[in-house]
Amino acid sequence: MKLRITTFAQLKDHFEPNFTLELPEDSTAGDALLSLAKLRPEAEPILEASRIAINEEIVSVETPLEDGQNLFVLPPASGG
Amino acid sequence: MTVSAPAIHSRICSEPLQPSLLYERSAHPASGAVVLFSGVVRNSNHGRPVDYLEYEAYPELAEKMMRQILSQATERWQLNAALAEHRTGRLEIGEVAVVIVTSCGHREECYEANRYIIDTIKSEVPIWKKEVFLDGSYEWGNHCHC
Repeated sequence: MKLRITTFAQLKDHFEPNFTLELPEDSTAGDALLSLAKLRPEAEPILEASRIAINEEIVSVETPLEDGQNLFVLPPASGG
Repeated sequence: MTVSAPAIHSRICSEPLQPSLLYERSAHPASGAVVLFSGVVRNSNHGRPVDYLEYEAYPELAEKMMRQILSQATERWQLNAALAEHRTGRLEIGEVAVVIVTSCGHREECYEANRYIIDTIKSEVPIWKKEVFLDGSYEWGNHCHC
């Protein structure tokens, strides 16, 4: 399946702001993070601490993904 | 006497914030206390001189999560008003990055609620701070050296 990935903050030092990620069927949000870490191993520590949002909701790593979804990969918050 | 619903206001914007306007918006006849927190850009971090900050956000989700935090605080501490605004983009030393206003019957709840709100925004809401130092180097917030 194909997911549309949007990255933020320090993740943009390692990835494009927007790109397509191909994953096997039955992949989860956690699988997406692992796949991104395989693409850019130097980003693995940030990805391990990142969360994924779909449809303006933060989802758990066990959440199954669907073809065509937009995934927002959120590094640890540092606002305020 | 009619009881009005608590005022809750959450906004992410790129223009300069106006703390005094937010304070005015928090006015409520049942409030005996108003606490205003303003997060300001400091000129150094861990001894390193800062040139400026840049804040980035996922604005739709950040506003939504800020509103949820304000609602939780309103219910937990019986607030009459809870307002939060966070700015994005480039901020110079001394500029205001975030304002939280809580308005309630008594100061004890007001201080606790305000503290809870800013602490939770800092740890949960998808907003990120990039510190650019005078030597040209930069660091993303949270001291995540990753």
